Amino acid sequence: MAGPAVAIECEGVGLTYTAKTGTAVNALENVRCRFVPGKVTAIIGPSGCGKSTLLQIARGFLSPSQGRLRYVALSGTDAAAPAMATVWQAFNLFPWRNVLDNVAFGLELAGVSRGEREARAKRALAKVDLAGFEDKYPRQLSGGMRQRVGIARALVMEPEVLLLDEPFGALDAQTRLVLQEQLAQLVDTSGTTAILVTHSIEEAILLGDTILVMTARPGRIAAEIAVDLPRPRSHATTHEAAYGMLFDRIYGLLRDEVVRAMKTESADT
Amino acid sequence: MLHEPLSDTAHPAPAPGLWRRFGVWLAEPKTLGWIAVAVVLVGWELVVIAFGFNPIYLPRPTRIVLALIEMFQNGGLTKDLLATLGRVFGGFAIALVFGVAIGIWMATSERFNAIADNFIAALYPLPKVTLIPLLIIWLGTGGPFMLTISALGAVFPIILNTLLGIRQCDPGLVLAARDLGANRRQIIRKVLLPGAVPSIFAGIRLGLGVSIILVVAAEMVVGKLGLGARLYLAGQVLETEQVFAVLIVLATLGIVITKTQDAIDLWLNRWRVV
Repeated sequence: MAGPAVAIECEGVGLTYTAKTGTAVNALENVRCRFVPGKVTAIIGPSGCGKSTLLQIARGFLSPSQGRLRYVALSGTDAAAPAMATVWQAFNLFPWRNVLDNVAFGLELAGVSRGEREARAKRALAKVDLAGFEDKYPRQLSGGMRQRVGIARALVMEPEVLLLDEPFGALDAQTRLVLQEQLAQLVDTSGTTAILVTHSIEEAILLGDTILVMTARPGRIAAEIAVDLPRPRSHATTHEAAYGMLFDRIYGLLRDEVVRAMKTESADT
Repeated sequence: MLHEPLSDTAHPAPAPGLWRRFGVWLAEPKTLGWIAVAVVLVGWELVVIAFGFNPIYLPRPTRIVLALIEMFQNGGLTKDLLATLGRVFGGFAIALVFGVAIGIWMATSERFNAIADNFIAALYPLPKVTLIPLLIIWLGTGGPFMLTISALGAVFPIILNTLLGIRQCDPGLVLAARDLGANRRQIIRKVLLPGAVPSIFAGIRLGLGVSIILVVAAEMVVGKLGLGARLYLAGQVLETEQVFAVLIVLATLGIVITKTQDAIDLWLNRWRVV
């Protein structure tokens, strides 16, 4: 993608907010991580560990209450925020816009002419196998198709960093498998930087170059794991021995945290 | 339809005859509804004839229809109808513009919301007919008065429903728009406003109904021009057939507006998720 390669760095990022009940909640604590340009970083952790919060901080939508967020150029100097686009778990498509106008929305905001933005939106839709669905409305599409529209809507912006916030969390298991493979391919070929927040160990391994395993709340980075499985990866990758070892290692790290998260959750309620 | 699964598909029935088809048509709930209306009207006509009611109390339906035709042909009822429609929709259009604008402003500015909220809390529950005397003192009985009373009726439901529609907007959509580079103005124009359209339309439905009531009531008080004036004047001179005729016009107006709104509602379905 265009533009200089910019890394996103979290330097001891923490986030504390006041809940409606008046108690202070520590969502994130002393998070140190680096999202490397051109690489896919997967963030995995138990429910409520602040994965999505970390994503919102990286996006610049939330300011950390401790530590700081830096955008760093290759030379090591501070850079402007790279262009980013997000794919959401809840799709967040505009129900009153048809598929083409949903995908073209970002370009429309940027003042791109109708002819050009429609041509670019059509190309993006073709990339996610949705050519011919331009005139449909979101409610006429299945969940999997809606999320492909969501992916096209982000890709059409040609972002330097693609943010994926549990993109397949709302989909059924089979649709999820197929879309994971398709997304892995899209990310491979585009060479974009991506940050993937997920609950699925499989998804993290298939898509990620690096996996950040987070602890239960307050979220910290428990481990940073490099995935050196060859690309392109597909469902067949899951049969390799190296995959199994990686899976077990991550599951081992997560298991205790999930149990701990379940305990604090029941204590909260 | 409940009876369909019971029909025997293995032995297709012979092509239905004319009588059979008539029977089916007769059994339709919709047909039944219209038959009921016809029965009531015929019964009314016969009862009035049989008991010889004084037409000042209860005129026959046929006489009412004749009176209605007569009023349209020679009595200038068209002029009254147009005057009422002009007042209702003129005032309503003003209310729509101001109502949506104020609603958006309240939804997006906490300060303005705090200011406007008290005034609305005081004015909204007030029956607007009670403002007629004051408005006549201020504005007289002409066009400005009629448009004001009509707009006053419609504006509050439109403000409140616009506000509600924007507040109920999925925050995920706002976040998605921000993510794609929308500034505050673009979020309002391209996300919050279209997202609130079904709710605004619900406000329009309520508001238009109140506008009609208020315009007719104001016309009855002023008694010069319009359906309300016509109704009141006819009642004063015991022209009961004309009273009924005006009521028919008002009822028809109500039906037309309701059906139009139903059609728009159907079209608005594309706004709704799932």
